[in-house]
Amino acid sequence: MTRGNSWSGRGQPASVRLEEALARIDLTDGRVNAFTHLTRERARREAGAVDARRARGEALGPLAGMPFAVKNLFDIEGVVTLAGSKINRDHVAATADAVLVQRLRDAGAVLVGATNMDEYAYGFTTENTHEGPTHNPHRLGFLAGGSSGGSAAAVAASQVPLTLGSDTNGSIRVPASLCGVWGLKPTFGRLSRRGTYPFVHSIDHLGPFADCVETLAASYDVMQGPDPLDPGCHATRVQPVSPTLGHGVKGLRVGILGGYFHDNASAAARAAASAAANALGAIGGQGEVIWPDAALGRACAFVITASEGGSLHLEDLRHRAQDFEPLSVDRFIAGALQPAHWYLRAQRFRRRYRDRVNALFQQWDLLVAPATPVAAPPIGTEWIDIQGTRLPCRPSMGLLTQPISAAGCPVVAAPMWPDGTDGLPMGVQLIAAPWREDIALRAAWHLQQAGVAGLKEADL
Amino acid sequence: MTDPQLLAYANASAEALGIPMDAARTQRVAGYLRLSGSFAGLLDAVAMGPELEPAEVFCPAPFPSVDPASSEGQS
Repeated sequence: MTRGNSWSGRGQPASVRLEEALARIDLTDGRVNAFTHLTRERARREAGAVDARRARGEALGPLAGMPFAVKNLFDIEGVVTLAGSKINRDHVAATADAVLVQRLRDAGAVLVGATNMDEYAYGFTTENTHEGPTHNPHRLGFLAGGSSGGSAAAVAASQVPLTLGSDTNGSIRVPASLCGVWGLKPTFGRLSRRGTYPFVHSIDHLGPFADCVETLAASYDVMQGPDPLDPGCHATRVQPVSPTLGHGVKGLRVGILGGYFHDNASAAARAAASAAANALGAIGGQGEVIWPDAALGRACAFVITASEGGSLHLEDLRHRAQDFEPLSVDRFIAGALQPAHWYLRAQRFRRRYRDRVNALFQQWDLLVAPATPVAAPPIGTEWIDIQGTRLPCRPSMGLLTQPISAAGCPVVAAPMWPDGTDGLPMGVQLIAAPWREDIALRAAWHLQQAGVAGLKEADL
Repeated sequence: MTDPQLLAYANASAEALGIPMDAARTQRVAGYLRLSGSFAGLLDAVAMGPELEPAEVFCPAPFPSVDPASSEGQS
């Protein structure tokens, strides 16, 4: 692929890297609209501190001097946590960084700002009415995906090499796919969510976007660690993946998902998944592996998301509905009105679903599927066509990601560039069993080294 | 539910929760409820025995790594 990456840029002075990032943001963000807030002063302080430690010969963290940004639902000390909303502008500023921001900072990374998103993370397009839409750096006027669209676009636009996002139903994998960057949605419960604005407690995940697999893995490694204060953090120890990236894929049982994941994908999406699966030595032909109850898994995620999201915002829906994002406020209200039976049925189904998915991974180590049904449509698109079926654009961008996060499996979104997309990227999901991020990242590294997946320069 | 039943449900439940809605909003919300209802219908069709518990089950405290009763009174 045609773009340099941040891992090879290690060792450069932090201040140099920071000023390059800020200059790039200043040059491009008027068109991309990835950022909602810049932390210039703080970033210069932190970069200076990294350089001072380097000059003193002190040991530096693995991300020393790497500029990064976070979706604006992460707490940043001294900054109001917007979560994409107008309503939260009235909140007081955060008094501390989110746990993951703290851990990246401890590893030497330098925070440059906060990025745009769908309001309260309820969307797949980052068409944010309050802040304006984020544009796809590979084609302005086209969707960046969402809800972590600003974070994906910032990496695709070479503004920063590393960002953080959240993924409930696909909000890391969808924008990674549309913007052509690496994204990791870890196992549910792997990374602490403390200090972030929630959307759906039962399904929320956090994870990184990056310009290369090494940075993706290194950032993930330093963010790991138990957090007894986050009831959703199930990991009890760190399991580093960076040392095993180069272990290769020989011996892995790799399959490509058919059925639901074939039927709901465009020809280009299928081609991207096939190319990745072939490069990973997939066993058997396309359509061999059937993910259990995929459509029901999506139904389960849809119902749980609507109920929990609606309930979370009920007080504001009562009194400030006019201040919500017009594109999602009615969905929030509808979610709040769902009968309890729908929600409880979905939660009971999820246990059965999880068991069936885990059983599938007794037979497979890695499963491959497209990340989105189509490449980026224009901003404002209402309908898309998938294999002759007309579907509403905004919810349908998550068709292929929702069943996976409902099961909590770790997924790397790999940036591919298939024919038939008019030059736009298309992501592929590399899916592993719960707690096996190492396998998904080994496969990602293999695709990167083979030149099958990777970033391309955005012409901005 | 028929369309009128769905609208009546949306209005009644919104009133119960204290969410004001005008007629246009009620129509849009009812449309989303219909979509959710179609997903809920899929899940309703799945056979689930009474023993199938929700995915998230309350835990009052982490299970102790050491039996507290056996360690009491030991120096």
